[in-house]
Amino acid sequence: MEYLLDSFKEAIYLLLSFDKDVLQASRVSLWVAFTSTIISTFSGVPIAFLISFRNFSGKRILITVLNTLMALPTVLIGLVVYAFLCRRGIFGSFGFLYTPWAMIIGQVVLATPLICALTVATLEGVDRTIERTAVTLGASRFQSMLALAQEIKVQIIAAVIAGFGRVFAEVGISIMLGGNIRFYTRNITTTIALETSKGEFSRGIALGLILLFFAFTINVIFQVLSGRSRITGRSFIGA
Amino acid sequence: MCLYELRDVRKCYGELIALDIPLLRLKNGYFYVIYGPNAAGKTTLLNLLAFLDSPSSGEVILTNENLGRKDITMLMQNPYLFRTTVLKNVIFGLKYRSIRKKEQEKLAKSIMEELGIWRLKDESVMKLSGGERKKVSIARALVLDTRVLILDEPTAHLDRNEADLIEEIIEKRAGKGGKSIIMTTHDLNQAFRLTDNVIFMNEGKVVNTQLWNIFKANLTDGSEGTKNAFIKNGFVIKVVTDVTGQRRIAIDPRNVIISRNCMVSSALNSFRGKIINIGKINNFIKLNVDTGVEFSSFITEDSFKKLSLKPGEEVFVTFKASSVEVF
Repeated sequence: MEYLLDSFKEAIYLLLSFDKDVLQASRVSLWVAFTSTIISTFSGVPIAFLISFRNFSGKRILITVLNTLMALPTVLIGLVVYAFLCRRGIFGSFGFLYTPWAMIIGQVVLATPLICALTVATLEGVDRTIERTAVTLGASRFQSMLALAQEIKVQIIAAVIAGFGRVFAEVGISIMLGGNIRFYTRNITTTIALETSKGEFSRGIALGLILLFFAFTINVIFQVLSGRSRITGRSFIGA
Repeated sequence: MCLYELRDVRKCYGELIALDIPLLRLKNGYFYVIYGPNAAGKTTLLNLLAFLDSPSSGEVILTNENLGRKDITMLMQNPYLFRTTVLKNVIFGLKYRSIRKKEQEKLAKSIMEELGIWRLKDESVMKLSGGERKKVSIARALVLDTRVLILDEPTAHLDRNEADLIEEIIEKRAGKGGKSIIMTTHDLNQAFRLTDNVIFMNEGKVVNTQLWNIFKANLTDGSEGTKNAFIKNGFVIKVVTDVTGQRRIAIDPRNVIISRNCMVSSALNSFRGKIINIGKINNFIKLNVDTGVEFSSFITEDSFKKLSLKPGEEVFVTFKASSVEVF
């Protein structure tokens, strides 16, 4: 217990002392995770709507594949993206490898199927009366989908939170594609891995607590945003 | 001028044929009420007219070239209220019509005051009662003031006073500025109260008879040229038809003759019964007679006075085998 307490004290000390390594790792973690989550949201959610609203052969298989991709190991993503970004890879000439952009690409690959699959699951369960009601009031197909998105925004935000949590806490992609370069691609999770390998368990746990603190703060912000519109129950006439 | 033309329209859900209309023309500027029992295909028809669904086969044509998608509004039977305030729900459709915000509120206020729900404008729809929700959805449809208004059971789930108010508001709009209204109901009295253009539907088809005196019957061979329709408890009606087996039959109440004594006539169906109810529909007196099976009959006021009928009195119900329609 004393060991954990020391770690907790060190975490507070690291935060309050504005430790340069911790601050920089936190900055990289937040920036990379936010950017990849935003990209994943703007790609995953529209893809989910397309999958859900269009009937095509292989739709069920595609949904099953998406669900499977939610369990994709981060090291595997790191490995596959590495193959594309390394010097001999198709995109090697862009020089993305061992930059935060490589980490963002890997994390987008990680989070997009997750956000997409969770949004598809929501859309599959939602009553299409919402969309049809909008159409009866003069909405175009696109406007009716926006109206539907507005109605299920709490569930969409939940999917985005899940995506953010997954990329913020991953380590495999960051190490393989970022290279753990100090003050450049080293983030909180790769720092934890490094400190633990050095035997600095207390510092590792302290960084883990800082990671949890950030994750908690961000989740609270999301909850406050989604909580404003949360109304339980359904609003069907005569239901 | 024609508004809609439906040609060979069928709507199927798997094996089930929910709608089968060879030809139906609806005129521009008219108020139509579609009447029929549950599962008659009323809502399916409205969904096609509102272009929410496409027919499985055939064509639904909006023949008036000046009208577009935004000239049609439909109030669904179970409309969804968006999870926001009452006012935002009412102005929802106005936002799609490039109407300025001030004007939106002005239009909403006018219709909401008419419906008595302006006081609820800032309430969340989740706090409303069933009747209030229905009124909000009606306001949301009416505020758009579209050329074609499609209403699926607008007075369902409302009490009598509220239903009267809605009827009054709808009636006021009917025929105003060439507006066309197509509404469904399963209340025949309401249908006739509102319009003369009542379309009768049963089992996915538009039928030419008025849907009283509908019975499930087992048709078997009878004497030459007729069939026996067994209703219940051995009650038999003579029918002219070629079909046999389980069917629905209907008798237009205008073809049901009421007499004090048994008539000697060519009509094959004559039953003795008791008057159990007397009412009024448009220019007719409606009598319900219990003969073991309940029949409705429409007679003129003159005939009613001449026969001086009262509830509980014994009368004879007579109609021809050829006036029985088989579905």
